[in-house]
Amino acid sequence: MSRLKTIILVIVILWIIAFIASKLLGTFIPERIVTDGIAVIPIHGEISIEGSSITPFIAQGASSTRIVEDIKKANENSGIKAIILDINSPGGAVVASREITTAVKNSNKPVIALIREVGASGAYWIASASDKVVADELSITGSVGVIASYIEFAKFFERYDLKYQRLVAGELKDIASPFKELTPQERILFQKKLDLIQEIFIDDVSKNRNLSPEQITEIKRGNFYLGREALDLNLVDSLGNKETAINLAKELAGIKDGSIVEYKEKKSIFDLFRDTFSSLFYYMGRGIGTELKTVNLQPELDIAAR
Amino acid sequence: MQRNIKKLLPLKKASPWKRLFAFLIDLTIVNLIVLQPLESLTKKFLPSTENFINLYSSIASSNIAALSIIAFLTGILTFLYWAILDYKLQETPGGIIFHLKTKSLLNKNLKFSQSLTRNITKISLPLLAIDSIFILTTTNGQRLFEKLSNTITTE
Repeated sequence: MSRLKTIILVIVILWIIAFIASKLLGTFIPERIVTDGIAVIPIHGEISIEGSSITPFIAQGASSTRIVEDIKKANENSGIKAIILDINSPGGAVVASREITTAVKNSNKPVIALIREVGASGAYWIASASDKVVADELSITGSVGVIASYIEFAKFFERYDLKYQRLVAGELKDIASPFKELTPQERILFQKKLDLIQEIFIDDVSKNRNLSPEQITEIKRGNFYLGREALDLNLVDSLGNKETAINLAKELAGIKDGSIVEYKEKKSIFDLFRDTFSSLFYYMGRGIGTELKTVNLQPELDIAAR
Repeated sequence: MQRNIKKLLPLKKASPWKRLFAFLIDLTIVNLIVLQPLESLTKKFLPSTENFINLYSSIASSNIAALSIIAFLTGILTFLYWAILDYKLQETPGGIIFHLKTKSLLNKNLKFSQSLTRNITKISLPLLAIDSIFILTTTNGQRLFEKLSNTITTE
């Protein structure tokens, strides 16, 4: 082998070893050293305990397990002086949202919630627990309520001669099953649960934001509000963007310059495939749907009728 | 040993200055290319501050294990660069520019064990500096580990 080829080969092989080693080390030791750091923790997508979706091929939401862990790491890192929650979420599961809210309340650093496109329902619950809430004028927030609606298939089954065989031990075991009609008694029971959850939700939000009785009455309706409206209702503290949130964070932390530390969700190779497939399946479905709409089936139906 | 050195006498003992510049060229190649993937990792563990006192205290209170592993890895890759090229070609890119070659005093061809031994101090610059002081004390300009590995750098 020529001299030049040998030199290039050796350099390339050593570079590859360095590359693999840096990736492995980066995985095991993720914490960056900072002095006056501001941690930015993303809360993107629907909130659930594991952030998982129904199938492995649909993009993940926000995992409360991961977010609580990130908040804990930021609290333990002496170089981090403040935390910004980058929120773009329509809400999600009750317990998952509450786990994050509790972690935010127990944080020993100033926490600023930045609401981007959407920060509603459970996501707003989390934001309300922060020291300050920043939203864009047109951000969607509020929606302080609980939803458990579903599609009931009972009549649909009757039409096609399908029967739901009810085999339960415990009268209310299949309450809210989509395969049978919801009885009035079941509706009342279910509604009581939803009202209880909302009561706890409203109570916490009103304490977090020091809301007046009038404001509580307004948000109890479960309405959503644009940023500007939310400011009038004392649901947010200021209108702005990431820059505004960073300046607030520096002010609350008492630091002059802060370096931003993004706590990004680590994606495995499988997560990358999942995100790719998610987009792929969406566009495939959209394409098929468009094709079906444009195909003119009428001539075939005319022939069949004749 | 004496007969071997006499055979090499027609070959000029490498000038320390040429060796130094060749080393600097190779070190540049190692830092710019070979160690480039470790750069982002190193930055992660070095605090972004212009204040030396903050820098020192941050390093002192930070993940020493992680920094040690990175330092060790850097040393190993640097060492391997020289050891492999010395064994395969008896020269490095820096050596090629200044016409420097590595020769074995025992055999016709340089053995891998000899290449490993003579370059072991390249794991750490302070070690290499101490090793290089011996160039001033030996007649044929050998570093200590060149003497121990029975090798010599010639022009």
